[in-house]
Amino acid sequence: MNPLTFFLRRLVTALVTLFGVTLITFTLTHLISSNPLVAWLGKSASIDPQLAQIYIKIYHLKSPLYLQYFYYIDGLLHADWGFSFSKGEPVAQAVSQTLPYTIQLVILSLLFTIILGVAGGILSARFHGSILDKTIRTLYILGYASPAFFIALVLILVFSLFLPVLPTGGAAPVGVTLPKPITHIPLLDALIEGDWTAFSSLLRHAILPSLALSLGLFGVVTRVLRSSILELINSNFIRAARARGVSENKVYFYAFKNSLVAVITLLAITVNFTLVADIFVENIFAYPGVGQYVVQAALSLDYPAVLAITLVYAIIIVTANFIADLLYAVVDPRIRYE
Amino acid sequence: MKMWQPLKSFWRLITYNLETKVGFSIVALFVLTSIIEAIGGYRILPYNPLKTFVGKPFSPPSVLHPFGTTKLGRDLFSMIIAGAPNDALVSFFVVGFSFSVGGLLGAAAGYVGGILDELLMRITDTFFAIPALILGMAIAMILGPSPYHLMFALAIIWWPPYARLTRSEALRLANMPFVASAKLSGISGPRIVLRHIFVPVLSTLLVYATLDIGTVVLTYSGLSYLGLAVRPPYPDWGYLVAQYQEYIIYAPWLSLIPAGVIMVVAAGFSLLGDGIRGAIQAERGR
Amino acid sequence: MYQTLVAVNLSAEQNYGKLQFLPDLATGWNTSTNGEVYTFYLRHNVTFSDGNPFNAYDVWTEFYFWYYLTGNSTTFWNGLNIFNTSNVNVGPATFALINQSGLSNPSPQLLSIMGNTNLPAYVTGPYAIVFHLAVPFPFFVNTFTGFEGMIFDPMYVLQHGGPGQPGSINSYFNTNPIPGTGPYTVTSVQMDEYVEFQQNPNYWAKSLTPSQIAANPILDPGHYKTIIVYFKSSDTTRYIDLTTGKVQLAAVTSSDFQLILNNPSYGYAVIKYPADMVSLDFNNNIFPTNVTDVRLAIVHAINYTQVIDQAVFGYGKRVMGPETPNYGQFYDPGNYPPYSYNLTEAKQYLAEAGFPGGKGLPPLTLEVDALGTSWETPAAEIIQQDLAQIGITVNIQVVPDSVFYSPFGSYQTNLQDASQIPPLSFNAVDGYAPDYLAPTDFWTSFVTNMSPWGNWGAYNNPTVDSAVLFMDHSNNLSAIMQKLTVAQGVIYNQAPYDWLFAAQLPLIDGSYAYNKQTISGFYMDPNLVGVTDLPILNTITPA
Repeated sequence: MNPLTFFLRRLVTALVTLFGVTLITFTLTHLISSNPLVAWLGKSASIDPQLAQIYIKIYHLKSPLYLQYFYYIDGLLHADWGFSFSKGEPVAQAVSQTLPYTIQLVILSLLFTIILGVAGGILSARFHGSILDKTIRTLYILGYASPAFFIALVLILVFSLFLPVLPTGGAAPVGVTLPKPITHIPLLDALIEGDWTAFSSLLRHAILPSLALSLGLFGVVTRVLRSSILELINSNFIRAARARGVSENKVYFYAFKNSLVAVITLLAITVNFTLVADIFVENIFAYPGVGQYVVQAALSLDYPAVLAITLVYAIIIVTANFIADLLYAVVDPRIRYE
Repeated sequence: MKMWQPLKSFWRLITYNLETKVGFSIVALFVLTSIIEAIGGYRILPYNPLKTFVGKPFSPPSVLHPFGTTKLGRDLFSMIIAGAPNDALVSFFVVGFSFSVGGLLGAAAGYVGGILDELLMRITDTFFAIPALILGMAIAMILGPSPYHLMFALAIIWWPPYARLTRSEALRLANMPFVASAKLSGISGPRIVLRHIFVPVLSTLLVYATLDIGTVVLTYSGLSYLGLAVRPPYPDWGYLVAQYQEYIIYAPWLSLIPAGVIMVVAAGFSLLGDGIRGAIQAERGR
Repeated sequence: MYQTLVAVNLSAEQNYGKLQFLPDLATGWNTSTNGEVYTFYLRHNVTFSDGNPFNAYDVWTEFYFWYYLTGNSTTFWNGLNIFNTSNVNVGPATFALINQSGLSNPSPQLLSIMGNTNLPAYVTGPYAIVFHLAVPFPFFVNTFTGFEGMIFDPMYVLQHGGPGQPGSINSYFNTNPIPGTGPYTVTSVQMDEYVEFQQNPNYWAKSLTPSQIAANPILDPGHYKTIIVYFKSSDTTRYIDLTTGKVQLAAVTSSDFQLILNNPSYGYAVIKYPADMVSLDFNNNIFPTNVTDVRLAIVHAINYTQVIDQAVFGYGKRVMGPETPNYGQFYDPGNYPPYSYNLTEAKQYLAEAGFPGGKGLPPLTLEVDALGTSWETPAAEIIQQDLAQIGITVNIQVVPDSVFYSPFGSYQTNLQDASQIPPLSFNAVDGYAPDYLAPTDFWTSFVTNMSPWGNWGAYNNPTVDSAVLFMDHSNNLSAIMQKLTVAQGVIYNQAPYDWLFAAQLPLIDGSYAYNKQTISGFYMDPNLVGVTDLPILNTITPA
């Protein structure tokens, strides 16, 4: 099939998936309790009858289920995601304020993961069987097996007590005015504006949380990269190159280059794990992103917020996987012809 | 003689290499401790985990209290052991359920194909798009905090990967000659699915399941950390970390030890799973 | 930053537990013999930090701002029903008039409105204001110590959008603070980040001598040119910032506070004569906590010393409520002792109630607010164990803050929501401290049916109600004390609340800590953390 068909098919699949997610979140809103008012407004709804009437109208709580679903989708598309009573503002607004910080962390952690993962992968492949290889393997197994909050706690301990060089809380220190919202992502905006004070502060506050995220996940990259390189190393092509006298290091470098794409597509799939780990990391570092918001919302029983955030996560994951699928297809022509 | 075969295979699997042995030891310790604790209750522990002031509050690890004591002087070691059954029960149940229900669903869908297959694909796609933790959180919010609620919530959302695994195997096997001949001999559909599709996939599923149990332990601990598993004063590993994380400077062992235990258990399953996979591949290579 | 007409003598209050009122923006005041007319004489030559003069017209305007903001409620003044508001028609129209005319030299029309003696508050000159109460409320002067007594520049308010709407104050002032007459002004605000204060160069008392300051500490012009108050949500961060010297004063609680306690080079604020009540509340209307003997059993089964030692580092004072000890004779009239830890007595009460050994009693849920778990959970666990000793099972439930507070409100609301209120709960994450320093506050709030907030147990008794009502409306001191003593006896015998302790640390299980080599000390809120738990900035003195 030609690329366009492939692209369209994948797109349709992605959209259908998102549609399915809205079905799930919608169903959850109605399993919430016998009194949906309490769920959407908190206990106070049952106490103030006037407020209750208003909300029954707004959320169409008395209409039949399929109509409610229609209004729900309609609302979603118009960025009306309900009112988040744990934050005291509309969910869409709260999400738009917190999402950029999470994106900052995710991108930064991606960077760290690539650095750590690639370094680990190359080193452990090149010196496979050695103590270095085994150490790296131990490190990433432990990292992957650690609950996200463990790594975060250890980092806080180390960086508050022994090496107090990096801040252990918040996204920006006091007294630093935030850059104008161009891309709405504070780090990028500071960079664009050339506001070095803001940029360096924001960066300093983002390093530890991002590091916490990547320390847990770099193992996935290392492991895949290592096995891919080692596989290629024994291929005929490589043997021929060795026979021609190409140096060992160059040979490994070649194997690495060819494994790169697999790694990149792998990264897109780790988004799922990153988002989950991010929830705990943000909470421990008091980082004002979506992760902190969703926990606050869940513990306050703020259903509109939790369900909207679930959707946001789903969108991010579906998009990442979509991109990964495309990348795979570009790399491996066989996949296009299913 | 034949009776010893499975045991011998089992032994070969778990002693494949050093890592596997380490992993198996951890897993065995975890499972045995949980079973013994579940049966024996608080009486068999060195101290009653709920009893306050069995030692000086905030004392660091010592001979009397290997993991130290808490703010109200409770013995952390006893609390950790007391909390083990929760993690074991939840993780084994969730994986067991997903393994069987998900595995069979996937096998059936792959074999039958058509609309059933498409439907399964879409459903699993949807579940893949939502992190298990979030969905678990949402369901636990509705039901209230309890390990059983979490177990139920996680089981509902954990099965899709198993379905996908068996489905892809089913697709591969469905067109193989031995399946066609089974059909010809008049063996019923369900039986074919079970014996000729599900069973061959078992070894792959087993590897995945072993690794997966560790993942459930991590997810459950995460939910417990958020307070969705138990209420004070009952001990649960994740919740202990949350309760004592504010003491990270004053009494770091109180939060680091429970977190470390979670890590070790998860790592154990990871090592074991990897080892089994390696062993099976080596076996096939023979 | 803001001052009131009447100053609390911080030294007498916080060093000796004596309540004494001194001149602040009012140089003197007197009461009529029938106790219904209060006249305040105001200080001359005082200006707000923006240059506007302070006079009686400002006080008049603010008084009616509060009236307007509560939606013209008769209990607009601190929740007290002491004014006849039927003649009051001061509202937006009047405010517009004031905005036009200004208050430094009001127009004749405005002057006649403000001098109208039929109103509950009227001016008799640029520096004299009279309050005409509808009843002889003896503690009117005390009501000026709190939030509504603070004097700010009403012209600034009117020139920047007005006070707001009934029920919601104009949020412009969150980031653009209204000028006050005090020793500091706010020069910079970043929401959720920090507030910067600088010394007010035009402060009227900037040249007070040290002995004058010692006599009335709240007038202190301050010892630092600039003070920045940062908001940091992580306790660990605050502790580290303090101990690394990044900040000189920090709020430190719970586990990190233990480190401060162990470190002799750090000092911290302790309220010797506390007014912050921490209680274990009973649902007085639902079984089984509606049975008096059950409540009496519980109050005698709790090891209070252990709770205080473990949950708040020993900084709690046992009290017999509803009052706290700082009000002299109004505290515990009749001298009833705080409930004793006596298991035998507890078991007896339980048996008398018909539940010997706890048989027949369902498990009780003890609700803990998720925001307060650092001290509430240990306290709850100790109480759980203590009650188990007499056969009562307690289940601890940690609920989100919003869920915890949702059924509570006025006495009426609490009664209505009784089925949603748990049998046991702690009254508040940071205790309940006075909004203003009158003994009527806690009596009304905790144990009467007139309570707008604070009668969480929905308790009501006609003897108590009438005694408190009488206290609000009479200046016959001996009669008040007589009735109050009887009421205290009723409360003691019915135990509607278990008064655990009055918290001596401003943050319950933490305080404001400082390096003793940098700072020697400071005073806390004259309302004993009821209005703010921050140190009084102008009293912070270097070492």
